[in-house]
Amino acid sequence: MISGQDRVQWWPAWVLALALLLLAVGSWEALIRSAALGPEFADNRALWVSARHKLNGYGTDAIAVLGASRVQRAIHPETLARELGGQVAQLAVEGTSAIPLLEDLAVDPRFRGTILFSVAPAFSFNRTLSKLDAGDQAGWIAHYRSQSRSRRMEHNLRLAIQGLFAFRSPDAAVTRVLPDLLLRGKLPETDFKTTFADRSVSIDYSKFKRTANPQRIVDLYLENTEAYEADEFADLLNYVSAVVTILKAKNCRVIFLRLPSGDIVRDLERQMFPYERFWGYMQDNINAEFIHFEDYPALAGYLSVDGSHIASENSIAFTRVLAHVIQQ
Amino acid sequence: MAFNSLIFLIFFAIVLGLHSLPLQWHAKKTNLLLASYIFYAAWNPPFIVLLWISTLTDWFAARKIAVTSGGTKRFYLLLSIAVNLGLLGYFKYGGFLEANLATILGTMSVSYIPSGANIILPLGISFYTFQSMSYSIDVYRDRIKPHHSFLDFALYVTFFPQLVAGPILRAGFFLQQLVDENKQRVNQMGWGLAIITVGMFEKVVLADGALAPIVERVYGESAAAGGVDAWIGTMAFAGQIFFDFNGYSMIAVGLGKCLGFELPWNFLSPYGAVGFSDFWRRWHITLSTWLRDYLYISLSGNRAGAARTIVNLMLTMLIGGLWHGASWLFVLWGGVHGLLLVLERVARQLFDKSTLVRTAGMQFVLGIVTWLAVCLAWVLFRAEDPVSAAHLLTSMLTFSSGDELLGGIEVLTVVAVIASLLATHWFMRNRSFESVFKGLSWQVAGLILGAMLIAIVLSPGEERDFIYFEF
Repeated sequence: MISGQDRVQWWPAWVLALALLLLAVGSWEALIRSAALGPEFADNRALWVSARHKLNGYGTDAIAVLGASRVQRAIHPETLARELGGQVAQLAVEGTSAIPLLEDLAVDPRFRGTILFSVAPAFSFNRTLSKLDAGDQAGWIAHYRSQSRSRRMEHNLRLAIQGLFAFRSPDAAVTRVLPDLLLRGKLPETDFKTTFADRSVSIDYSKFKRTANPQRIVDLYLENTEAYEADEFADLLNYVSAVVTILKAKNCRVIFLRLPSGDIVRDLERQMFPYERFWGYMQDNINAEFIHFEDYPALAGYLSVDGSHIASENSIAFTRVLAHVIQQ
Repeated sequence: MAFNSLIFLIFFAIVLGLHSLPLQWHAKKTNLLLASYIFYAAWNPPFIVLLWISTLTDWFAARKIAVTSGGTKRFYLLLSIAVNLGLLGYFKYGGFLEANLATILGTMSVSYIPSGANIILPLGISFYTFQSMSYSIDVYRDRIKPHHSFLDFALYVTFFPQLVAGPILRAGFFLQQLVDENKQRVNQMGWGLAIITVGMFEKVVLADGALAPIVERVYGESAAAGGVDAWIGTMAFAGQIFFDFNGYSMIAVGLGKCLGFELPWNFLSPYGAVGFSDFWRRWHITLSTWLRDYLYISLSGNRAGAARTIVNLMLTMLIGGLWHGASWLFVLWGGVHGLLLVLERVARQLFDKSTLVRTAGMQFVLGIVTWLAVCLAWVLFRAEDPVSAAHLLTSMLTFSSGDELLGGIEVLTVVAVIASLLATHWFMRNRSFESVFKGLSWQVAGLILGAMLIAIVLSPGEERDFIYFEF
């Protein structure tokens, strides 16, 4: 092997390289911003773990929001924090059961606040999902627990950059933008889902018409959901009740929520998960507070076209009403 | 703290700033040692104790070895080996040994339930124990004298650019660089940063961005993979592991240069190898030379006849395989490479005088055969379990049909990246990266570095650890 002569003049080479970098990234940033593709966040594990870490610093003011997409889309964290006078961590994860997180908060001595646990029938009353491992939450909790301090600092830095620069947004990924730009000669549209720093999300159904149909939710239910048998549900509730007892011993407040559904989705949920057999049984067996949308007419009227989630444009108003109900 | 993290960027900027201050050389080395401990502690602070144990053991053992003789000298050498391999054995192989013991006892109808203790593998333990231990062995073999400065020795064991995944240093090579400050450091900075940029490009853009998702798809659903997808996935892994580990090693070399130190290159265009002995002279060079010098030669190498040479080769490769992780698949991977080396030895004896073998065309064919065999062996290295490995190998060898796991774009990506990689390695067979890159004009070098930086910054890939961090 021959070591070559040092022909490169490094000083001008690096000036050229950095000038190219600034020019390219600057132009890309301007292009991305012109199409409003960012800055925004990815609704992923890193953002969730960051929210979970923040919760540790909230003390008795902490309000942890647990559940799946219904509560993530329904709650406007800033409004909830203002109305209830606390600090909100949005910890709901789309398509998952929140029971592992409930357990995590119970065994975490730093958590001494309030839990809003959204009971989504498809994930809480569904015997086809394992009660502890359903969806991503168990894996995300394990990641949160094993995260080193330097890794946490790294994630916070990356999130800060993602909030500042549009080119780090998920909508602006080169692999998403370039093919559209090269093949169709224009930038892609923003995704139907926008995630914010506080993990609240906004859904634009006009961009994703497939989800705008309540029949799709019904079909998903029919394909993937099977209600617990009575003895299985009793076992699950024994477990949840034990976890809630640990939380109550730490002076935590636990509120179970059933957020609104409408039309054919509500009808199917009523049929698959009868109020008395599920919700009523929970009320009788768990020492906590319960808010079911059918018991509070004020919670009606905020749904989106899919019949299963609160419309994004109504989330602030809905959060205000929900906070009022909680305070009552 | 991984090299591909923003935190490391800040950390290194601070270290470089401190290293550039007009301080005494002793103070600069102290700063580097402290920085190395902080770098390691950022992952898991208590495991710093293991580094100290390894450092102190070899520091004292080597001093004793130098002033004693006979049995006492041998005792101190064995102490060094026992402590280092003991640490490695407990933390890396404890659970594995226990599980295998339970299986063996089970076959003899003796019930033994493994403790199930969750032993965390300390980062870099396979690398720094080997490095630290080699110092005592070199002193025992009279290759070097015990070093006069404990600070220098501690920095040799702990130097952060190579602490967690090599290149594995030799005391004789590195300690002499610590005696006096390298006054040419500032002149090396531009070149050091260029090496770091190329390494980062390989890791972030090629390994993590282009290839890792494809590998994960195929190896995550190995049972469904047909022959074509299995080959594409395995070729992608061949690229991923090279770009990942070579990327890491290049960043280490570049960081060393910025701080005024020379670290050895770990890879020399390995996929341009003709034959398996050539491959191991080009792949993970600091490990393969370590195994050659401290294991193969200690076992008598090729000095005790043909049969013993084959046994020594196989033992070295099996242990080399096990070094990569506590799994029978790694042992098998090492065994396959050992077998390939033995076959190559036999073939060389048979065709030694053939002129056909030396023609350019035949060399090219042999190069392709070498690469294909290396790829097949990678399946054992990457597969989740023996069943997945068997399924993938069967699919690859029989070209069976399966589910369509990969789309056209993904196949094209792998073919383009791997074809470029092979062409580059073939072109670079007898050239060094340094000689090629330093021969460029500043304009071309600037354009290449600029393009790489742009790709790194805009890369949408997930942040992934370096593969060799697991070893």
